[in-house]
Amino acid sequence: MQVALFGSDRSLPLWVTEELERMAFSFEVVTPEKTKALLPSSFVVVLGSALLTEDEVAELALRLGVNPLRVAVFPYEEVRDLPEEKCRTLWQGFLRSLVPPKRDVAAFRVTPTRRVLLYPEGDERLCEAFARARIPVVSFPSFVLSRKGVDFHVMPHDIPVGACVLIPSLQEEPPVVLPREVLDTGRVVALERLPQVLGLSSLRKMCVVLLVPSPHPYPEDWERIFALASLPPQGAQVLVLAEEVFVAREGFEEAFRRAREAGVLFEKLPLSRVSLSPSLDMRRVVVTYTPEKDPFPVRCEAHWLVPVSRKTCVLPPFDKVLLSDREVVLELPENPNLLPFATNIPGVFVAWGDVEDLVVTVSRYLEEGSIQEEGRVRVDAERCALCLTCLRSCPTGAIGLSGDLKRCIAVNEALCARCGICAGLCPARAITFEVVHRVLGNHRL
Amino acid sequence: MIVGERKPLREILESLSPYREVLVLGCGACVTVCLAGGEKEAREVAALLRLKGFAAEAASVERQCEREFLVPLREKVPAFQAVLSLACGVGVQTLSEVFPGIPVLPGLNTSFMGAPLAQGVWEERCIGCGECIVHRFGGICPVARCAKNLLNGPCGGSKNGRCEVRPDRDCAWQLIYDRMKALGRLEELFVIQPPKNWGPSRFGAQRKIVREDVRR
Amino acid sequence: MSLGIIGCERSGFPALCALGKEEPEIWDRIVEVFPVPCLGGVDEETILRILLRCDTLLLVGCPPASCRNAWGSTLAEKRVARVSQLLEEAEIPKRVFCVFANPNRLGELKARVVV
Repeated sequence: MQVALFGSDRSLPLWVTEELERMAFSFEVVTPEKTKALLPSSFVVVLGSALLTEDEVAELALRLGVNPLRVAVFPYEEVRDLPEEKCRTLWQGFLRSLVPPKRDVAAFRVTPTRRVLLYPEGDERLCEAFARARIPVVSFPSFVLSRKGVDFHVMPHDIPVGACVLIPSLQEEPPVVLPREVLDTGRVVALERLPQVLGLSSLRKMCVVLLVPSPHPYPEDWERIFALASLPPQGAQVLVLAEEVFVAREGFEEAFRRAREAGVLFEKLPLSRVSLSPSLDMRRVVVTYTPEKDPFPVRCEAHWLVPVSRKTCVLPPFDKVLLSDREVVLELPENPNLLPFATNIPGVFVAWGDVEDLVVTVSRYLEEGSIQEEGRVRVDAERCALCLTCLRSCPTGAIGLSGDLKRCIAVNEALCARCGICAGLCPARAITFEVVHRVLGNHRL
Repeated sequence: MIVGERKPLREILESLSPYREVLVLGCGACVTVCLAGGEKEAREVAALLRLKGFAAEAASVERQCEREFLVPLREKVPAFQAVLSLACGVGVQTLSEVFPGIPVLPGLNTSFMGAPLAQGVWEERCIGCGECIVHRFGGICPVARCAKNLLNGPCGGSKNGRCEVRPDRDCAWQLIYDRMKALGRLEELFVIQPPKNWGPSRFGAQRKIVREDVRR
Repeated sequence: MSLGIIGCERSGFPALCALGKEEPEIWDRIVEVFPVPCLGGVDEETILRILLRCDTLLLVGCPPASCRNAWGSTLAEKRVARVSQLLEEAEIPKRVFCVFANPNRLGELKARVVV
């Protein structure tokens, strides 16, 4: 058997080469530059880390131009410090476990079309930002989308677009239920109007209480809150009761610090623990709350109460426009393992938060695309019972029906994340993923 | 399709206690689609039985309710002491007719005829009464979906569109009303429905259909 | 008590390796390690098959809110709950647990692995 060793160019320990010779493997050491000599039947053995993911292996396979199933990773980095005898046994076991793959798999890079669809149409700020990044933007009053590979096709205009940006609408509601009597004091003011109101009043020592619900990706409110630090010196005493303070943004940490230094008090607690009532003279609002850390209720009289509205993001009905065999389930982009703004459906982004950041994310997605594999996942049409479990459970929406009579499910490999959820759920065991086994320690991986 | 639910494991183990070598047989039709008794579930049960010390093997056929699909098992089945069938009641009986010498045990409770509403949710839609009348009710069957099987409904106990017998279920008559309203046929609900003919239903003898035109 | 581990290659498996560096003796107890692309793809039969060779099986994956495949970890959690219930029903003295970990969050894994 032919083996191409790929890995650190430092000198290999003896046990690597000796065992290869003993087992009558012919081998060579390759680097990314020197790959033309690779025989199609040879294995590329990566002397790397056990932590290499399948995606990284696929990328390497694409770079070397070989079947990803012929790329086997030996956890050299983890193993090399073990006693030599142990290394030898492991290496032997690994070499023995190399079996030629049954499938022809090819790695390829999918790059989406450089065009973005805005849904619903119109948002000048977004259009301008995309124009600056030289990404063409389209939007239509009415259309349907169909998926072709990694692209969307806008029908009936028949325009391919690489990404869809959903413009959510904001739904605002008060952070807590405001009792009627509290509203009657006339001391409840919106955050936007607060600087104005404070500027007009002449009272020297005033108390302002802000009620802020858990953070949402709309940072403008927090900008306003932190700016309260720059009130004139005779200004009010400000107490911010927040479910969470939002500092995960450039400059916010600093602004938060400055606000605290200027005397703005921040208290983190669930707003359900705040109770509101009017003062006896109906000219102030009595705010009572129990802080998170100690059990004694705190009572203060606010001259102004600022309920910052709880904003929820309502996405446009994307499942109504995407022609798909299944209902589209969009995960809102709060997952740190997804791109920011991205949803679980590849190519669908949500325009919330900073416009520039969004454009950068989308443009990177359009330029880099992703590495995919053709042939890794296989559907056995004879076994498939068409129960549609896979189609309903695929997290990326990569599964649809194929054929005129929709007689079999089809996997769109440009979208497949190779998670294996469909194969694990399939009751007829019709979906199979070819997996490369890896070896670590005395354990078969 | 027929929707089933696997029997509690305790019950399965109890019925299997006299045997050691067991074949767990899945069915590739309805019970595969409702994720109760396909090949995957058969292998799962077999793996559990092996953990429990049985010599269990799993297999699956296209449809257990038809003899022709059971023919390939003729050589395999006699090697086992018992067969645990994960098919519906129809499949279990066909299986025991084809293999009279081997005990065939049911591993599944056949629940109802229904439809998947979402991934992992199934709901009854038809009781097989033998005389379909859904066209009179806007395509919603009160016999299968109303807890009281009312043909002249609603009963008056429906609350917020929910059934008073099982508040987690929709009131069929609310659905019928909404649908008839949408169709602009509300006045048809004023017609008093005559008593239903239950003759073709389960209350006579075992039902049977003989079609001379296609019979060989 | 022997231990088997199925780890997702994004979080669970790297977490295990990180813990292995910290406490190398855990490797003596671990008899099986399987890295998988996502925990959601591990079916019941695989779990039961690996259980034949060990007493306790841990499925180590991303915390549900950060699973790259939307509901992969949630699915694994439900599946493990179901398999545990089946094992209990059958009175089989084996254990399966779902553990959420990543290299920066080893606490839960450590509690399960280190005796």
